[in-house]
Amino acid sequence: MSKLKRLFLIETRLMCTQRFSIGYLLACFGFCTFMTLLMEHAIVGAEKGWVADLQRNLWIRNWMLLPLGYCWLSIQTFVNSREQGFVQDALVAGYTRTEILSTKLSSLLVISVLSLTAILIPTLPYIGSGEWTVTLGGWLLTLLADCILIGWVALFSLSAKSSNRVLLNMGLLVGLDFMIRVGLWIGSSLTDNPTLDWMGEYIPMLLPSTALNCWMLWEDAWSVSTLLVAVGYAIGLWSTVYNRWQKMVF
Amino acid sequence: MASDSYLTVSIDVNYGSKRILECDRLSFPIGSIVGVLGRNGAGKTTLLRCITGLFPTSGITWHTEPRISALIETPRFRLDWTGTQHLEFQARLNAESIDDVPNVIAQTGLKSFVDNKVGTYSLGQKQRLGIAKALVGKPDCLILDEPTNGLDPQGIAQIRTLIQQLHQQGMNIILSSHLLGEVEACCTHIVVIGDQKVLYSGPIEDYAQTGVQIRSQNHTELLTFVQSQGWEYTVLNDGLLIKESIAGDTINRMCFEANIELSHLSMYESSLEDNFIGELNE
Repeated sequence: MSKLKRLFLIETRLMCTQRFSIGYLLACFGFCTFMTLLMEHAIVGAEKGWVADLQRNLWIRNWMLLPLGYCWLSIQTFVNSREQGFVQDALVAGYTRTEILSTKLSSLLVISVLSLTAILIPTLPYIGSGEWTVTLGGWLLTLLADCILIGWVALFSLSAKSSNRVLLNMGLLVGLDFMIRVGLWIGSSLTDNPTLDWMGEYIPMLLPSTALNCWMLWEDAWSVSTLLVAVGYAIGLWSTVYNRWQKMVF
Repeated sequence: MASDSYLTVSIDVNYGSKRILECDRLSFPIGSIVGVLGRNGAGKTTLLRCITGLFPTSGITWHTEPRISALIETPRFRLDWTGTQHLEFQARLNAESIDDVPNVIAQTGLKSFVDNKVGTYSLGQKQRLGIAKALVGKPDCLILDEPTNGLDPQGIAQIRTLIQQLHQQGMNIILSSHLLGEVEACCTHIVVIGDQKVLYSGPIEDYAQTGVQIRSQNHTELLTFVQSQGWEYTVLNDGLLIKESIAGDTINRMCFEANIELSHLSMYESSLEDNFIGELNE
């Protein structure tokens, strides 16, 4: 077995021993199945069909389950494995820093793919016509959004010593992003200042939340520039994480 | 020196633009126990971190790369795992069969508590488990940073016995410790580090200062005489230590001929502690 494969299996096994990952995957499947069945069979007047179900499940996963489960799982992977000495053990055992970082990212992306599969499965019985290519695009772009989320978590994990601190930093990031967005909106709405209007139009596009929400392909506000911003964030975050990871003292 | 019978590592460690350890290379015979000594912050742990790859540097080159295992500072564990789970995890990480884990458990005396969760372990038990984890990979070179830190006298004795057993099995051991008596008791070689600089590396017996200790009422005159003779010397408290291989009676006669009356003359052999403290003070 190659070194990389062995490390990947160990990382995945380590992740599976955390009850959070199992709980997260079950929540993705269970909650989304429940909502799909509810909308298809119990709620009168609800939007039905495969496209509507998948869009709803993506909302549930990315807005409700993602901050609770996936974000926490990423934090555990980066902070706990360092605090519990697993990163140090792997380094001493001869694995390179690049191998360790790449297996962490890839094992988290495996969980991401599994959770996306879990939200897709309940919708399959209702497969039919509709603008499914756009929805499926959103489903695939969720992987990019996850990659950005893991990037933020990894970046904060490099300097924070505890899981709670990383969670706090993530909360501050989202809060700051929201405050800037609202501030710009209020500023451009209440005044006729052309500079504020310009800022209100373009700056929100560059905020982290734009990149994290790049999966909403079916939304009217979505544009190719959203994808470019998301790709830019992914590259920027991961190159920063990579550089700092290489220079870290464990 | 860099033959297969020696464990040799070249060190050129920079962090950013700063050189963090001044040492070209360390070389020790295979099968030696090397004690790394230095005051707090001198660079002992940095040296061990560099050797093990925990410090990001490309400036470490093993001439014959050994299989390394390490216990750096306080061992860290997942508290909801048992000792056995940790050892099996380590075996997988090192691509070793988990069938060897019971041997390591027996060797390190973990049997009575290895199946308990690590959260219930005492500091000494955690330390032993840390050493056991390091042994799972069947290393050629075991690196231990303060292995007896926080242990009671019985625990220290057990770790010392274990180190000596591993040494008898032919394993190279590099350990850092503040306990000079500990190092003196079990190490064959030492590395002395002061202010990010390696001050001495070699056999422990060569580090000891031996010579003739002399004292005179007129210390200045004695010092001038010794300097004029070109002898290697060290100032000791209220006297001088002549490090040349000259007999005591010869020194006595030469001083007498130079009209210097000695008030004390004796053979001197210093302890590791005397030398270590003296060297750091210099």
